[in-house]
Amino acid sequence: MTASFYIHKESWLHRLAAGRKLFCLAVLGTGISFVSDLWLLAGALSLCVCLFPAAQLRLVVAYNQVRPLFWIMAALFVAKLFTGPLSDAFVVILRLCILVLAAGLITVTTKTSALLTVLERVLTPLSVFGFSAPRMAFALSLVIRFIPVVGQISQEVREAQQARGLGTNIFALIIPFVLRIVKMAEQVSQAIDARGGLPDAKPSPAVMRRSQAVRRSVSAPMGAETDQPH
Amino acid sequence: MNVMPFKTIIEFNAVGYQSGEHEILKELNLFMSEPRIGIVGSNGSGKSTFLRLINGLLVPTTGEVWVDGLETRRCAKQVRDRISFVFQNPDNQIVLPTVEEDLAFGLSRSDLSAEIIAKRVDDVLERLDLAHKRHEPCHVLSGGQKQLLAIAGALVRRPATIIFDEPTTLLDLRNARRIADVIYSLEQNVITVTHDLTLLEGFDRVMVMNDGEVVADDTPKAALSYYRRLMS
Amino acid sequence: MNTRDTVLVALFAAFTVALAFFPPITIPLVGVPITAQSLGVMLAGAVLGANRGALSMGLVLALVAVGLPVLAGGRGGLGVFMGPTAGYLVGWPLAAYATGLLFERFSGKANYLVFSSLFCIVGGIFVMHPVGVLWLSISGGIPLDKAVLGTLVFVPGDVLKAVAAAYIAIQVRKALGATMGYGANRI
Repeated sequence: MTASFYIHKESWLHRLAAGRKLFCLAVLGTGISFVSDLWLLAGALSLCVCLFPAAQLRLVVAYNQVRPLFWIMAALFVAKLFTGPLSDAFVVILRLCILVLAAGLITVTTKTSALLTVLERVLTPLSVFGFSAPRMAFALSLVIRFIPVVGQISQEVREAQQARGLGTNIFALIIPFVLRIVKMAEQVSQAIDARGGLPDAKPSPAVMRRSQAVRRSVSAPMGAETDQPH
Repeated sequence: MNVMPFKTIIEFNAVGYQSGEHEILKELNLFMSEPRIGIVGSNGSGKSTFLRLINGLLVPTTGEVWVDGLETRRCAKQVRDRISFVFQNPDNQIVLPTVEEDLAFGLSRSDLSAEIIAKRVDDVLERLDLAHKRHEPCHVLSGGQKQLLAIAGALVRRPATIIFDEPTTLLDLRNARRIADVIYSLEQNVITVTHDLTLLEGFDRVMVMNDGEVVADDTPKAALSYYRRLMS
Repeated sequence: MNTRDTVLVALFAAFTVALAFFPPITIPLVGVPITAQSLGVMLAGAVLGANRGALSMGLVLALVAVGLPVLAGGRGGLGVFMGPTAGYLVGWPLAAYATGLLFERFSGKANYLVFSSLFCIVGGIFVMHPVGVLWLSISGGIPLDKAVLGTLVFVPGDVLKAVAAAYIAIQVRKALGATMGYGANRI
C-alpha cells in the first residue's frame, strides 16, 4: 500500500486550485450524461488521455486509472449488447472511461491536504444540522494517524492466533481485534481530554496548519508493509 | 521555560472509587505537594485509577479531589491546564499524524496566537532533542522517541505538574534511562506510577498501594524496603 | 458527539481500512473465503449504533475521496466514485446506519443470532444492494431488472457474511456489555 496516489510534478494542472478541479469534474459528470454522440465522446476521451502528458505524467498512469475497472466494464459491455445496439454499449463504456480518467487525474495531481481542505469547506454548511466541520477534519486526521497503529494491532492479533492454529479463522481474528480497538478508543479519548479536549466546533487557525502537515504524513509509508500475510 | 508560578497542591478528602460492584479505592485522605512523588503497587492495586482521579479523568464515587483549590468534578478543564498526563503507551496519546501537528494539538483550544503556539512547539522540540523529527509522521518514530513526543505533548502545555503512568514499562533499558533523565530534569512537579524502583531512588516521597489503600507513605528508602517485603 | 464517540468513530474507520489488508479469511464450517472489509460496514453499525456507525463509514469514504488507497486491493481516489460499482461504496454509511438502528431499537433481541443476522442482512443486503443496483443501472445505462439479475449472484455470499458479522457482533457486545451502553433501549 503506497500512502497516497499523488504524484508530484510541476505542471499547471498540479498548480490549479483543488476546488476548481473538483468543480470541473462535477460539471463534466453532469454534462456528459447528456452526450451520446460517439465522436464527441471519443474526442473527450482523447482529451482526457492527453491531459496526463500535459501534467507531465506518463501514459501508464492513465492506464492505471481504468485498469481496475476492466472486468466490470467488459461485463457491462456484454450486458449492453444484449439490451440494445452496439453504439449504446460503446457510449456507456466511453462515458465511464472519461469520468474515471478525469477523476483519476485530479487524484494524482492534487495533494491530499488540498483535497482535505476542500472537503472541510464543503462540509461547513452541514453545521446547520449540528455537524462540525473542524471536528470532522480532526476525526479524519485521527484516522490517518491511527491506520498504522491499527495495522500493527491487526498484525499482533494475527500472530497470536496463528500460534494457536487459528490464523485464518474469521472469528478468532476479528473478535479480539474489535475488542482491542474499543479498548484503545477508551485510552485515546482519555488522552485527548487530558490534552485539552476536542478542537472547537468552529474553525480555528490550527485547522489550517493541520491540513498542511497531513500532506507530509501521508507522503510517507503508512506502515501497511508490515501487513503482508505470512 | 516559564512554568506556573507556584507548585501544585493536591488534596484527597475521603476519596473512594467504585466501578460497578467493585471497590477500587477505599477512602483515601492525602495531601501532596512534594516535587517528586512516586507510587508503587502490584497490578490492580488501584494506581492507575488514583492517577486519573488527580486530573479529573475519573471523578470519585465518594469524597472530593482538590487541586490548588479547584475541585476536579467541577473544574476539570482548569485542573487539566495545571496537570498534564503522560500515559503508559505513547501510541494511544499521539493523536495527529505528524510530530509538529501533534504537539500543536495540545494548544489548539487555548487562546494563544499561532506564533506563540509555533514558538512553544519549537522550544519543546529543541529541549527534547526532537527538532529533526518535526515533520516526520509519528508512526515512524522509535518507541523511545514516541515516549519523548508524548512527554513533549505534556510539556508544551506548560503545566505545573506532570503525571506519568508507568512511563518506562514499554521501553528498553537505554530508552528507560533516557526518559528517567528527562523526568529528573523537569522543573515541574512529578507524580509517577512505576515498577522501575531505581527511578524512584532520588524522589521526595513514595507511596505504596495495595488493594485500594495506601499502605506505606514515606521516604523512598523506607517505602521501597516496605514494598519489597510486601511483595516477597 | 463527545470525545469518546469521536475517537470510536475514527478508530472504527481505521479498523475498516485495516481489514482491506487482511489476508483472505474463511468462515469456519462453511469454509468460504471472504474479503474482510465488507464486514467492517455491518460491524460499525452493530457495535457503534446508527449515527456513529454511519459517520465512521463516511470517514472511510472521505479518505477514499482525498486519494488514499484505503479500499480492498489498495484502491482509492476519486475515480472509484465514478465507476459503475460506486453505489456499493456509497451504500456503506447507509447500510451501517440501518444495521445500527435495528441493533439500537431491538437491543434486547440482538443477542440472538437469528435477529442479529437479520439486522445485518437488512443493512448489508436490503440497503446496500438497492443503492448499488440503482447506481449500476444509471451509470451503466442498463435496465434495472437486468442490473438486479446481475447482482443476485452475490446475495448468497453476502448472506453468509452477514451471519458471520452477526455472530461477531454478538460476541463483541457480550464482552463490552454495559461499557458501550448495550442492553438499554438506546445506545
